[in-house]
Amino acid sequence: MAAIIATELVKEYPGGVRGVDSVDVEIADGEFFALLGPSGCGKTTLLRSIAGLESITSGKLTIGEKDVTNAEPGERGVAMVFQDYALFPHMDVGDNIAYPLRIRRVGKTERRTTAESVANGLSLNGLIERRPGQLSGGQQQRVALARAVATRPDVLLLDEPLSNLDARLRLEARTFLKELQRDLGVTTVFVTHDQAEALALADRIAVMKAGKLQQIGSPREIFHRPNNTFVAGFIGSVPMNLLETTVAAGRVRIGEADVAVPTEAAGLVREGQKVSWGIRPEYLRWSTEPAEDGIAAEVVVTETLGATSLVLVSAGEHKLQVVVPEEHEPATGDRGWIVPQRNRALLFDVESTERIG
Amino acid sequence: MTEATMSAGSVRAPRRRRAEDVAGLGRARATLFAAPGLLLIGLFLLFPAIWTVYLGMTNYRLTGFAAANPEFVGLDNFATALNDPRFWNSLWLTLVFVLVSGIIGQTILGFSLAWMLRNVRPGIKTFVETLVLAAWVIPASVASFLWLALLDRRTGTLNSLLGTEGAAWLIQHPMECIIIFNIWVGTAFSMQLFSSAISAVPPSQLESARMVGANTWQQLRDVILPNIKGHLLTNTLLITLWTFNTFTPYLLTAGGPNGQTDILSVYIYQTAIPGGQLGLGAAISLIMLLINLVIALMYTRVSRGKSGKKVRS
Amino acid sequence: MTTIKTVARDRTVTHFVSRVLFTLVLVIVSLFFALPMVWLILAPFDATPSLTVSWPDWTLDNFVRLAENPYAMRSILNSLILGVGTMALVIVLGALASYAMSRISIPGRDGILYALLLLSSIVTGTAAMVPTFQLINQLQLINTHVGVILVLAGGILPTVIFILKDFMDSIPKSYEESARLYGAGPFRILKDVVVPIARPGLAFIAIWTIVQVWGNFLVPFLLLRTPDMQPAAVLMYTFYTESGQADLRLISAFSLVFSVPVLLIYFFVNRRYGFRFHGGIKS
Repeated sequence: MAAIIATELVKEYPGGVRGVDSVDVEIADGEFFALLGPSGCGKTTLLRSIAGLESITSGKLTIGEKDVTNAEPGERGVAMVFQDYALFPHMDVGDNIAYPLRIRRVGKTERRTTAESVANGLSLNGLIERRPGQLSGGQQQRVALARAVATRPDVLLLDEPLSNLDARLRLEARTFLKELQRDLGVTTVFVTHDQAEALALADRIAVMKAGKLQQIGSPREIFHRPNNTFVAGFIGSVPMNLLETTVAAGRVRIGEADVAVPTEAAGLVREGQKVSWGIRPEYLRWSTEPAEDGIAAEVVVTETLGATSLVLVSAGEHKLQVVVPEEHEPATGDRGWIVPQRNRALLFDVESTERIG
Repeated sequence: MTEATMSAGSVRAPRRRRAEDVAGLGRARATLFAAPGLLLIGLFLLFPAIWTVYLGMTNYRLTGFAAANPEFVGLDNFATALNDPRFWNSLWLTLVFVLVSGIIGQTILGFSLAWMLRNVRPGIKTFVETLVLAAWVIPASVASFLWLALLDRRTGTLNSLLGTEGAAWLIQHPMECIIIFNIWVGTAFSMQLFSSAISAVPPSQLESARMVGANTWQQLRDVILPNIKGHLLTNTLLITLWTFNTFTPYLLTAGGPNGQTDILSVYIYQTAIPGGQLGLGAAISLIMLLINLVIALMYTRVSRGKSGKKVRS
Repeated sequence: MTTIKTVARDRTVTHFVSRVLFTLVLVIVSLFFALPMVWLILAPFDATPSLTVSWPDWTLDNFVRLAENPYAMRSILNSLILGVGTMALVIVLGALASYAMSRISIPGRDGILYALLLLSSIVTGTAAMVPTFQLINQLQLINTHVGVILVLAGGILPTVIFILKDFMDSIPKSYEESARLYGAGPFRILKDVVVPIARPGLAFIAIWTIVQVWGNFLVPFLLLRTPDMQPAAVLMYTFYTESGQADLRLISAFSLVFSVPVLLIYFFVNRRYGFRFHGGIKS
C-alpha cells in the first residue's frame, strides 16, 4: 500500500519529443486512479514510467517513502497487467500466477498454494492446470490479475484492462475490477481512452493531452466542471454543446435569445469577450411552450437512443443537441424552446480555451 | 471433368469440352506445361538417387575392365565398407564435425549474436551482421583460400599476429581448423533465423518478466527460449543436413593429413573418383542418402507440426 | 535510504563491467569474421602481396595481370555461361510447371510439391555425386557445359517450383479470366499476362539461381575435366593447389573479381527484399 507522487516528471525521446511533459500528480494510497486521454496523449508513457519500463528524463517519482526515479522495474513494488495480458504460453495457469514468486525464490509448495488461493479468489477454480491458450478472454484477464496480485504489490498498474474484451464482457469485467480493487485496497492506476470507463471506475481521473495534464479531479468534478474545452468535449458519452458567442452587457447571445452569464463567471468577463458557452445535452430541456431563459429553436434531426432521444436543433446560427425523454420526442421541423437547467452552463474563453469562473 | 473421346488418327481438334481453370489450360495441357520440369527433376535428381541402390551393388570402376563390364556383386560393397576402418573413421569424424561445428558452434554463435545485437545501435548492428553475412556469401573456393592464407605456416596472418611463426595449424590441428572454418562460413543463417525468432516474441511477455524482477538470464530461460523452441529445432535440423553434406572442407584439407579430416563427403569423393571405385562409392553414398532422408523427414514432421499449432491459436 | 544507495552503486559497477565484457565479446567476434576477409580487400591492390595481411603497395596491376590471363578470364566466362544457362532453363521450366500446378488442382498436388522439396534436400550434390557422375558419363556429357547445367537445374528446380507456385497462387485470377474472355489461349495468357505480372518473382529466382551456380564447386569439379571448360570456382582452386609458387598477385585479383558480383547481388537484394533463406542450397 503506497501513495505515488510524481513531481515535474518528464519523459523525452531522442529528437526532443516529450511523451510526458512536466507532470505533477499525487495518487493517494488505495486510490483507484485513471489516466484518460486520446491516443498519443502520454497516458501509457506515464504508466510505463511509473512501472520503470520507460526511463525518466527528469523529475522525481516516489512510491510510498522510496524515491524510485531510477529504480529497476522489479524493485519498485509495482505489478502490471498488460493490454494483451502477456501470459506465458508454455506455462499453465498455476505456474503463470506463481512466476513472480518463483523469481523471488519462494519454495515450490508455498508457491503453488499461494497461486491456488489467489486463483480461487478470482473465480479461476479448476483452471489451474490449463494453458492460457485454452482460456477465454475474461479468464485470461483474471489470470493476469492473479499473477499481478500474487506478490501483494504496493501499486497495481493496468494498461487498457478492458479493451481486449468484447463489448458485453467489458461491462461485467468493469464491475468485477471495481469490486476487486476495493477488496484488495491496493493503489491502482489504470490507463484508458474510454471516458465512460474512467468515469465509472475511478476515484479520481487525470485527463491528458499531448503529454500534459489537463485536469485532475473526481469523475463528478470533471463531468460538471471541466477546466477547458478539450476536457469538456472529451468527457461525456454525448459531447457537451460548445457554442461560440460574445459577451454583451452581462449576457451572451445564443440563437435569438440573450442568456445570462453563469453566476461563477459573472464578475470575470469583459464586455465584448469572445467566449464559448457550454452545456451538456442532458442538462437541456425541450419545451413546446415559451419559458424564461428559453431559446427558440427548430428541430433538425432526431436520433433514438432507446429510452431517450438525441435531438439536434438549430437556433439562429447555433446548433445544439438536447437529450429528450422518449415521451416528449419532437418531430423534424417542430418549433419550440430549449430550456437550460439552472447553474449547469459554463463559460470558456475562446482564445485560452479555459473555463471562466 | 469428363474425358472427351478423341477419334483415332485425328490431328488435335479444338477441344469441345471447357477447361475449368481460369486460363483454359485444361488438365492435359497443364500436364504438358509441367512435364519438362518434372522430367528434368526425375532424370537428374530422382533417378540418380534410385540408381545408387543398383550401382552400390555392382563393381563399377572408373577405368579398366570393370568400367566396361561391371558385374553385379550384391551386398559385397556394403560388406567391404562396413569392414573398412577408414569408413568408420570417416563416420566418426563426420559426427564430430556436424555436432561441434554445426549443432553446437553455429547454433550457439548464431543465437548469441542475434541476442546480443537486438538492442545495439543500428549502425553497429548492420556492421556486424554484414561481416557475418559476407562470410556466408563469399564463394567456397575463395573462402577456403582466405583461410589457407590465414593459417599458412610461414606467412599466414594468424601466425604473424600471434607470433607463432611456423605453427602448422592445418597439419597439427586439422579437425579444429575445418570446424572453425565451417562455423565462420555458416553462422549467418542461424543468426538471421534467431534474430527474427527473438523479435517475434511478444515484448509484453518480456516486460512482464522484467516487472516481477527477472534478470536477463531468467528472461532468456523463461520467456525467450520457450517461445523459440520450434525455431531452435528447425534450425538444428537444417544445420545438421547442410553440415553433413558440405564438401567445402575438401578445399581446405582434402581429407588429410592422413585421413584426419576424412569426413564422409570427402571420403566418398576420394573412393569414387581418384580411387576409381564407383561401385563402392555408390554404396557409401546410399548410406549418406538414407541419413539425409531421416533428417529431412524429421524436419518435415517438425515444420508441419508447427504450422498445425499456429492454426489453432 | 542507505541501502538503496548501496544497491544502486553496486548495480552501477556490475552494469559497467557487463557493458565492457559485452563490447569486448562483440569486438572479438567481429574480428573473427573480418580477419580472413581483410586479405581479400587489401592484397589485390598490393604490388607485392604475401599471404600475410599487410598495408599494400598500392597498384591496379594485378587486375591487368588477371585480364591478361586467358585461363582466368575464360573461367569467368564459363561461370557466366553456367549461371545464365542454368537460370534460363530453370526459369522457363519452373515458370511453366509452377503455373500449371498453381492453376490446375491435380489430386495429391501438395503432396507432390512437398515430395519434390524433400527430394532436393535429400539428394544433395554430395550424396548423389557418384550416380550423377556415372549418369553424365553414360550420356556422354562429361566435360560439357550442358551436362553441368542439366544437373544443376535438376537440383534447383524443385525449390524454384515451390517458391514460384506460391507466387503464382497470389496473382489474382481475374487477369487471366479477362484475357480468356478476349479469346486468348493459355500459352498466350501465360506470355502476355502472367509473366509480366510475375516479373519480380521471376527476377528474384533468376538472380538467386545465378548466385547459387556462381559459387558451386562440386558439380563442375566433378563433371568438367579440362581447364578451358571449368568455371572460376574450380579454376581458383586449381590455381592455388597447383604445385610450385602460387602467383598471389593473380590469385588475389581473381578472388576479388570472382567474389564481388555475388557480394553485390546479395547486399543489393537484401536491401530490397530482406534476406530470404529458402531451404538454402549451399554446397
